[in-house]
Amino acid sequence: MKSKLINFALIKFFLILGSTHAMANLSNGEWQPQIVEKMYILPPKQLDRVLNNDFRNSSLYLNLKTADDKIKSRYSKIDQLNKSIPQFKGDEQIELKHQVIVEKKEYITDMSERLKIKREHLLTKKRFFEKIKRKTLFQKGDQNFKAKSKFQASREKALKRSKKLDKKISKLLIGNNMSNNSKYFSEYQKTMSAMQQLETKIKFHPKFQENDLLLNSENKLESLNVFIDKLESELSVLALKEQVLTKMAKLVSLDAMELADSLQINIPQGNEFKDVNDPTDSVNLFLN
Amino acid sequence: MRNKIMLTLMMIMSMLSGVEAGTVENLERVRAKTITMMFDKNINESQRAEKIEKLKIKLLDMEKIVLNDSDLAKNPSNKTIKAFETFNFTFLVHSALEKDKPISINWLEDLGFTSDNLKRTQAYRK
Repeated sequence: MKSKLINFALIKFFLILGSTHAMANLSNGEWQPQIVEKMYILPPKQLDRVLNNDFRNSSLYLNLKTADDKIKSRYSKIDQLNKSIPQFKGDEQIELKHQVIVEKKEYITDMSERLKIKREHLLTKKRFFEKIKRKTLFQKGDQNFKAKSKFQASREKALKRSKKLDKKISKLLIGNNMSNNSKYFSEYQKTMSAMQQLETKIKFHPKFQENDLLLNSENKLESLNVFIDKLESELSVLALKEQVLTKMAKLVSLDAMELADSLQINIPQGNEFKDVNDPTDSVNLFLN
Repeated sequence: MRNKIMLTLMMIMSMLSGVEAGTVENLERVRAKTITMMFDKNINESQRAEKIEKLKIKLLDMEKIVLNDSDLAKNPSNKTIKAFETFNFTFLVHSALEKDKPISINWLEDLGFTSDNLKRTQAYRK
């Protein structure tokens, strides 16, 4: 009976190993980042934080958490069983060993599920950052195009020339006591001075200096590339973990085979199967 | 029917002319007034200086408004493009302040009417 059970577990185990591709198609939940486009201007670090918060509200995260909990409980169960095996002997020990193999098989299944969810999470995140990168590249291209525009260039040149003269104009107006006559210029000066103060404050703001990404598309691109590289390396680590899982599965199958073999050895010789259709096996009937 | 089409056309034209009357147009109006004042034969020199001085402040404001009008960059007309390309002729006060010269002299010099050039000219009788 025991050997039948173990053989059944073995067959089931190999079936699971063979059906990994089919399982990849199973639904592991969904996560579609619900981030408004206005947030795209955020520096990648902040964007990552927003993205992680968004992920926590998805069904994919819920499944990841469930898988995590399952894995934790399986791990402690396997650990407990492994510790209690030496305390038993005979059939009870075999039963425990069988339990360990079954739990290990379930552990591998859960772990494989978890890795799939994690891969989906990382891939979605990578796709999101790649989308932002494409947008930033497009904006950069657009800015370059604008900068190349003849009118834009002459307008910027004119503005620079005009700003250089601001002090001179101010002196002229005050010197000739005409500052009241120029309504726009006095307001313009006030606004410019306020803007300058704000710009200085922004420039020396620790967060701005830390990121310098809100205005600098070059830096933003660089930072996005760093994030995408990081995600790719995480995905590579996942692939490695999947390899570890395959090795674990192989080891469990070998354990299961070993257990099955030991059961065959333990079967007493007297209970050996006798073929009654063979006259040599039935000779004892005639000898008694 | 024809009247209706004409009316629609007039409405569209009026809308277009409304768009045209932007900051550049306003600047051009004051600039033209200033240049006219420079050569007005009906006023004496002190009157001219006084009037130009008053217009200068107005012109200065108009120039600043045009220079800081970010809407112009969205869809600049040929007039606007030309206005920015010829800075010295469009922004009379700014250009004069750059060179520390009176508006009229600066404008005439930019046109090529310098004192030296005028001295070199000769009168011929045909």
